[in-house]
Amino acid sequence: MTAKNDLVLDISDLVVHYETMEGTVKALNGVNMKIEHGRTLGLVGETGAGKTTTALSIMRLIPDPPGIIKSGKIMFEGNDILKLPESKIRELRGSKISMIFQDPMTSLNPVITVGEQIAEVYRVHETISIKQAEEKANEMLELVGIPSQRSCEYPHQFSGGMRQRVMIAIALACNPKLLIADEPTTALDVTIQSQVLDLMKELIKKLDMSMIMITHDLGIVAEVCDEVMVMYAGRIIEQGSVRNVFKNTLHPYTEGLFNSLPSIHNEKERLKPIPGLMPDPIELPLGCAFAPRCSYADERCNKGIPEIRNYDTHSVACYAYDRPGFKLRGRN
Amino acid sequence: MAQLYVQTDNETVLQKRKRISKAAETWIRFSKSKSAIVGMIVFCLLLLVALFAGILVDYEEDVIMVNLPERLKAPSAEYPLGTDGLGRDILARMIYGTRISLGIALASVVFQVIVGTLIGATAGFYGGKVDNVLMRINDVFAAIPNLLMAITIATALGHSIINMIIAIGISGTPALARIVRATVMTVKNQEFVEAGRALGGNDKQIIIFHLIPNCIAPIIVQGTLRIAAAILATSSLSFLGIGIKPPTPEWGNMLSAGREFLRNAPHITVIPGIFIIITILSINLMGDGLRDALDPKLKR
Amino acid sequence: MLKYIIKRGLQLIPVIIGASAIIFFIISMSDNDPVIMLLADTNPTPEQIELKRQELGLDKPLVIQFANYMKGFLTGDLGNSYSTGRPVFKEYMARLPATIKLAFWALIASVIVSIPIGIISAVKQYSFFDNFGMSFALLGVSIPNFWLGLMLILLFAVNLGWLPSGGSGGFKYIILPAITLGSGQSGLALRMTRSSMLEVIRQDYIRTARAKGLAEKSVIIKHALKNALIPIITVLGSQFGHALGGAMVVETIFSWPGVGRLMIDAINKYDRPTVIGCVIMLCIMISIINLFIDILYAFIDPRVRTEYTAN
Repeated sequence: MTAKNDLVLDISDLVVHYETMEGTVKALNGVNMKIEHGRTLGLVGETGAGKTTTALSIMRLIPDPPGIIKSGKIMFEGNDILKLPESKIRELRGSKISMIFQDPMTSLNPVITVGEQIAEVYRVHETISIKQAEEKANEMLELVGIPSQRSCEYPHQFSGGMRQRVMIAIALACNPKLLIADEPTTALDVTIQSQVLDLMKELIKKLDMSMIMITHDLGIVAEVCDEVMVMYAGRIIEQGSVRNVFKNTLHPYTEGLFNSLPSIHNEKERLKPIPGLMPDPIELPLGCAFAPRCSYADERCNKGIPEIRNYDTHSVACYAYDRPGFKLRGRN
Repeated sequence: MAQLYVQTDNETVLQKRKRISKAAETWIRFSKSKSAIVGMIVFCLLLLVALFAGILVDYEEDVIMVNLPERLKAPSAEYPLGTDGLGRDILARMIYGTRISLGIALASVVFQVIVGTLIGATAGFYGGKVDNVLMRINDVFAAIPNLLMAITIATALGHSIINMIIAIGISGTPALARIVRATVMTVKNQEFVEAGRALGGNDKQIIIFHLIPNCIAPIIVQGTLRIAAAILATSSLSFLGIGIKPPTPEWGNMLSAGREFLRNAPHITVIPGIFIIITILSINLMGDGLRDALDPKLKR
Repeated sequence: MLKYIIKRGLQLIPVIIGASAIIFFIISMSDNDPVIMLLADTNPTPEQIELKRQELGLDKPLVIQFANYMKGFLTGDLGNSYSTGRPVFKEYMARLPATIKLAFWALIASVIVSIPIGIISAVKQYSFFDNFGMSFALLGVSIPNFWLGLMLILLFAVNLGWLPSGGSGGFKYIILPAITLGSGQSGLALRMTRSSMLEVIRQDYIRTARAKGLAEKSVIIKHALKNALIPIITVLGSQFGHALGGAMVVETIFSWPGVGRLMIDAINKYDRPTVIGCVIMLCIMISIINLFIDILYAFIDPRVRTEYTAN
């Protein structure tokens, strides 16, 4: 029985590169992450920040070639995932750690029935008969809100939202300790989004799991997550409870993210996107990766890479907080 | 052409990556593949042999004239590839045969490309009724398998070189027309939209300048690969006795003539086959190289 | 579903009529006057020639000839062979089983080699095995089958004496012809298998399968292969159809009593009805096989099944 404060996952100093023809893509540059039992962590960032790479690293699904896990530790249940043999990893995948992917249209095998795609998870991880696996699969379908009579149908016969429910059923079939959800609702209609999110919240609670919710949508973070980590250019630059990060935003980038959201309350004429683009991961700048776009940056920011450390209510990686009395301008 | 925008507070700085012409880019990619280069070199050598065949060997003396006392000799210093059943120097016949085989193959592919492109481009560009009619007719022709069609035409028209070119040309055209049509339709949908938006109207000339360069790539690749198919077709037909007939030296009929001497003089059969293999191999390597070079996205 | 089959079947008819017309008219363009060819031995008088011409119906305009031919076609009458006098249709059907047998075994020979190599080449892309596989495929399409057949005869029949060089009879007679015909097909089949598998392996659902903790073998065979098979089957099917028509060369070399040999002989003897009849029958067979493959899709790919039944 895991106590409430036990760590389910502990990532330290994860460094992942992709060797491509154009050069070495430095996808993750020292990622640290701790997830406690029963908590939901939101992993936020723009496309290319390294969120999916982090997720795939935990599952050890990084395509190799071209991906290489250069260094770091991922501790799960007392073992370093990165050092486990392939056979042990396969035991974990789908049963102790599961993942839901972004696009439900392409993530399900088109020529196998949905019932079978769920049932095979049982057959791989538990010693049960085909009939029993089938029955369990039907139960899972009902749990995610799909009538079990439809278990012999094929993915293309379902809508996007229902396919994602099937994905959830597959992921939760063996009651994993950790669920990684990589932008599970991005490809869905807004109305369906909230249905699927509600379902996920309900099931997480029911099955007493931890979850990593990868998203670029701060609204989802607010709705679903307990803690949040903001990622930029392969590093975590701010982390803390949702309440603290939202109310007392510390990193200039995070502030920029909030400012770029259109607001119902304030009538503004223009949207305020963060100027510039995320740096090319093949040619990362020498100093803080966000400095070229940061309106608070000074000389020091181009010279070194700030470490994440505690400040005020939570943690942030920014040299500006070395300056006495520094405060962000705040959200407008 | 890639552009990098770096925006500071007051200005937008445009950094352009160096622009090389598309043809040069393609050549660089092509030359990366060793096998493609080898294929191209071999093919060019064969082309040269074909071109200068008339100078290298004398048609009457070396190729045609029967020389019975010298028949069925194995390869030696005097006859590097041996002699055939009628005492003729196989090397000389192979050299001249290069002209015949390659000539027919190239000519028939040119036919296919010209006619096929006309049909396919018209159908793809205009769409609607024109497309319907053209493609229906095309389908009927395509329903007849290539070799059969070539045989049918060759049988009807006779055994001359021109007729072979027509036969193989017609048999290969429907498939090429289809490919051109598909390409044109794809490009049309892309470029049209872009051009329409950017120019604010239908500038037909610009569309043609955008359309055609994008369509050429698959045509070149297909054309190259079809030369190999045409050589195979020519030699198969001649082998069966339907194509080029002796005494004209065509690799296929030379091979066929060697059948009765298979036991004691196998070289008459083996050698033309090896030439065919080398030719087709080099063309395929070249064609594959072209395909990879022209569209790296399709890299297998 | 039945409606779909019938609709497709009906669509074939104009195509077949069109193809038949093309073949009919092309062959009729031939310089050789069949009547003169037929009566060459008997030294006929002009009146006898004219009589024979009328007898064969060759005096009527081409279009009428074709119409009559089509009429006969509907009742299974493709005319009589000029050389043997027997009905073309009967001759064709008598020889067809032999060609089908050859095409079938060639397909087996090709599949046994090309599909496993194709799968492994895709899974181990860029490895030594992959390069070997691709070279094998390249050779397969570059070696003319008539040469290969003769080389096989040279080696196995003439030099080693293990296998017969021609004719038909027991199983050993089919080995060399099947390998010869099959090897020409295996090149393309291998490439298709490889490229189809490569395409499928890149798909998201394969990543999902791995994320479930399935063993790699399961992922490849159960999840990937099923999807990859779809285009592969198209190629194999069309190859089978072409083998029915294009086995002439192999049948000639190995003296195999099939439809291809029948046609070659007819061509050399200027036996027009047989040539026309054979070509048309082959076109029909190929069209039917293509239709069959389309229907087969519905059984393999559930998405297609839905599409067909919906229409």
